[in-house]
Parts: sequence; C-alpha cells; structure tokens
Amino acid sequence: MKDKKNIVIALLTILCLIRIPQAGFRFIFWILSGIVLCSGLDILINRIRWKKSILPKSAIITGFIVSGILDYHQPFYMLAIIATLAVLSKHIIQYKDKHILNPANFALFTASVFKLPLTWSIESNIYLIILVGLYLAYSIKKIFQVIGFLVFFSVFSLINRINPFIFISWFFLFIMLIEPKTSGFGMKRGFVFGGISGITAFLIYKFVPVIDIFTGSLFVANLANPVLQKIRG
Amino acid sequence: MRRLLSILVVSVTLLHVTYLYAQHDHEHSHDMGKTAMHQESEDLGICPVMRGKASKDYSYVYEGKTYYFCCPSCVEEFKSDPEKYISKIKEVNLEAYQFGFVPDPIIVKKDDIVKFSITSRDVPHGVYIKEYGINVSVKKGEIKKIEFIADKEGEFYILCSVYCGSGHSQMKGRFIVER
Repeated sequence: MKDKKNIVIALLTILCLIRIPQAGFRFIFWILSGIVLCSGLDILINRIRWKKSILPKSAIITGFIVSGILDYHQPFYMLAIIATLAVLSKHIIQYKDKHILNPANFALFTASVFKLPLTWSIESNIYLIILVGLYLAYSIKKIFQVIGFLVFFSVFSLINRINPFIFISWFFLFIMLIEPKTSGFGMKRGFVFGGISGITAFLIYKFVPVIDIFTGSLFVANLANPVLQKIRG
Repeated sequence: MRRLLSILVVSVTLLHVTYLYAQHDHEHSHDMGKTAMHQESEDLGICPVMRGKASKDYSYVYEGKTYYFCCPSCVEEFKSDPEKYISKIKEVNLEAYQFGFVPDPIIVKKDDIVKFSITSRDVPHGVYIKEYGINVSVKKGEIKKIEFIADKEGEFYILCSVYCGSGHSQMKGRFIVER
C-alpha cells in the first residue's frame, strides 16, 4: 500500500460495490467497461508511442471515475467516447511534456458541456470518502487544495446565503481535486489552486448550472495550474 | 504541433461553454414569458389540433385560457369541440428537491401533449428524460416550461442532471406513458 494509487483503486472498488445492490447488473458492466477501455487504450498508446509496457493504475482510476460519474443508463458507445477522450487528453493536451488536465475530469466536463447527465453513482458512501480522502490528501500533501476549495466555495456561498455543505461533492473534493500530477504542488500553490476551483464552482453554480459545477471548476483550475507553478512555495 | 492541438481542444471546449452560457441566459430571459417548447423558449408550444408548432397569430381564449394554434383551420376545429383537445393536454407542475421529484410518478396517456412547469425547492437541479431528449436545469425561484408529445409508450426515469448533493445519484422520478 506504499503506492497511494492502490488505496484509491481499493476505495473506488468498495464504493462501486456499495452501489451495486441499488444500481444492478448494468452498473457492473458499465464500470468494468470503463476500466477496460481506459486501461486498454493507455497500454496501447504507451506501447505504440513510447515503446514501453506499463501497469495502467492511473488509467484504471480514470476508468472508475469516468464510468462511476457518467450516468450508467447511457448507451455504451457514449462511455467509449468519454473514456477515450479521457485517455487521449492525457497524451495530447500537454504543457512542457506533462499533461495539464485531470483526464477523467476533462472528459466528464466535456460530457457535461454536451449535456450528458453526470449522476455521480460512485459517490455511494461519503463517510468512507471523507475518511480515506483525508488520509490521502494529507499523505500526498494535497490538503491545501482541499482547504483552498472549501474556504472560497464556502465564503462565496455563505455571502449568497447558501449552505455550501448541502450540495458539496466529497468525492470531487477528496478524490478528483487532489489528483497528484495536475493539482499543483506546495502549500501556497495548492491553496490558490483549490481557491480557483472553489470560486469557479460557485460562479458556475450561480450562473451556468447546466454545466457540472465540480468538473467545470477543476477544468479551469487545471488550466491555471501551469501559471501557478511560477508562484513560490 | 502538440501545443497547437492542446490549444485547439481547449479553445473549442471553452467556446462551447460560452455558447451554453449564452443559450442558458436566453432561455432564462424567456422563462418570464412562461412558454417554452423542448427548451426553445420562443415557441408558443404545440398546436393541440394538428400537433405542429403553434403561432401567436392563431389563438383562441377558452374559459379564460389562451390556446395557440398552427393555422386558422385548427382554431375553427378547436372551437367545434374544445374539450376533445383539452383532454389531451396534461399540465404538470414538476418540483425538484433534494432528492426527488413531485409528483412521482407522472402518468400520462400516449400521444398526450405534456406541459411541464419545472421548479426547484432548494438547490439547482436538472430534469433529464433520456428517451424524450429532455435535459433542463432549474434554479430555485425559476420556472422552466417544456412541452412535448408523449409519443413513446413505457416507463421512463426522470433523473437529476445537475449535481445537487450527496443523494444526487439516487434522485429519480418516474414518467409513465400508458396506452
């Protein structure tokens, strides 16, 4: 369990298992398809382009998130498109040879822009998510992203007399926002990154609720991340 | 090349977001006008006789309510037996809340003209019926109106398409179209 990706995979598996009794067989196939598609495509791209064999843990997580959030009543080809988009974005949308967008988030954000419903079925037990998420955020030093988001999102919501905690997504906060490679390193940068995401989430909530507020906010924060890297600390 | 491609992908996505924002704003401004059809808010709904697109040029007031039609002959046809056509119109005040819809289930007859007035009790919600291509978001204090013909028989899920809290994934309603 040294590799935190194993913990994330274990958590995502448990969250999906919890959902199965309510969601049924289609959900199982839907999740498995997402995982197979993402990991298969990632293996293929790595083998063809970089001539290397990998164990696609990141792609497995991407597959879990994409299929766990996208409405599983959609046709399977839609999942294939979104999953492919996620993996391709990782290999195409790069800055200084590093991907800048959280792959699953970018694909889900695009899905939301094209009015595909995101039902967040994977968010089946928020207590487990918060518990494991706190551990993950602390151990990979991403707790300031979480704090930044919570502070700005809460302040803006409270100013507008809205209770932020009645509609916050803990899965987003503790699993997606803290994705290691695209969420900024360090205390200040992490806090600003979370802050940008928090403010954007509120603005989307207020003005364009047709777009998913969380994936939209992370997309904007991801875009700002290369600039944030120039901040000290 | 990769950088160019990255910029292109991001730009296209942002452009689409801008378009959505503009569309949403447009819808919102017309909500005050209270009529929408399949989310296109300038429409006056569906002609109850011929089921075509209604026009403001052909209207008839019956029992204090204005009905719009697609042509003059439809107005005359309606006048001859208004109840026959009114019985085929189902108006539903659909309220979304954390985490459900009222009324639930919504039961209509096949080929009825269904008019939803959608409101939210608390946070923003979405009303999504996949089989009818309906996906509307609504904020507290707004009224979104959509109108469609229930031409597919069966039981369909109404899902919330806008994240609305920890019970979002279980927020479901049923839309039943009977023969």
